[in-house]
Amino acid sequence: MGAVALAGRADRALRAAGRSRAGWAVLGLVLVVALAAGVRVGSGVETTSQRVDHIAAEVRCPSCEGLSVLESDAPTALAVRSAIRRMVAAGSSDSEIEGYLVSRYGSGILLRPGARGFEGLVWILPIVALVVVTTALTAVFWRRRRRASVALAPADVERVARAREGGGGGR
Amino acid sequence: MSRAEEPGRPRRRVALFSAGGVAVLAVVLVVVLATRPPAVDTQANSPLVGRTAPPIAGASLDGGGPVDLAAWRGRFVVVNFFASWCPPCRTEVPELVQFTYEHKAAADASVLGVVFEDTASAGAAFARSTGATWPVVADPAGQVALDYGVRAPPESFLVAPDGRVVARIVGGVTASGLDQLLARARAEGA
Repeated sequence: MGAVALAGRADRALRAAGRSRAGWAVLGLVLVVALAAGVRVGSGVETTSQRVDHIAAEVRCPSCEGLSVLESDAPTALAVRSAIRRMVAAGSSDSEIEGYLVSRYGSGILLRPGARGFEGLVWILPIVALVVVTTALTAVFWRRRRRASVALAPADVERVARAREGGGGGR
Repeated sequence: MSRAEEPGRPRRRVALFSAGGVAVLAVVLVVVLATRPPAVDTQANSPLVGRTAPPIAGASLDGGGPVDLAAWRGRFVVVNFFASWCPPCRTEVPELVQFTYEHKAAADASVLGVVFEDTASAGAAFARSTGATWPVVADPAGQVALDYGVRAPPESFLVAPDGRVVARIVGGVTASGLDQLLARARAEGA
């Protein structure tokens, strides 16, 4: 293969690697912005009714599968919503209200898993999995790129340099 | 080519091990499921166990006057949540009748019914038609059910003579199962 063709191949490989890095950087930026936006949503002052709804959305309907007490019209869900409304009106905090419901139904009454003990794994495992997968993918791509890179012999490097200076080069 | 070099041999070994693994898992699953206790008298965890039973008070639906759980201290009480639309609730009534009869002379245990997610009239009719002879109270706002953390009927709570909840039973009860719980609670000092 000629020196010019080799130089061209090396150039293209470098440019492709640069585009790939830029692409990953853009993807990472989009992910960070989306996460930040998701955390910011929901901040701000709530009305009493909004607060009741917000808490009710986090509590599982005791007698129906997969619904919150906000979504369900079952009598038990209505009783729980009514209790939440009463406690909010009485000035109880979110944690006090949740604590009361947990003291009756157990921690399973909350749709959001607790942050401690075995349940806390639900929060930690996805992050750990993300880190592991990202690390593994990075390692795989990095190894592939190293294998695919063109290793030029010193004589070829000299020919490429001469070809660029002289504007020509033999095969 | 020697036997060890035959191309299909590693694949056959993988297939054999995989099939063996699946078979072992299936056998373990069958054994575990077959040895589980039946759905009756299934004790379940409850944050209330060990704590004072939440209050229950109201008019008895059979016209027998006011009912107050607190007035029943000194004896075991089976607080039984039921509904007219609940088939296992119907199945367990004869067991509760037997339990009530067996403890009538000693007056050491009673049953108190609470209507769950049902109208008072339907609950009263259910009690009449099934031969339930114990007081039954309505719970129209679901507050008693919430206080006890009841998710679905039938669900029962055994309350000790000192007013503490000693067991929560999910699903239908049996007279013998309740007697066993009573004996255990007595042995533990209830």
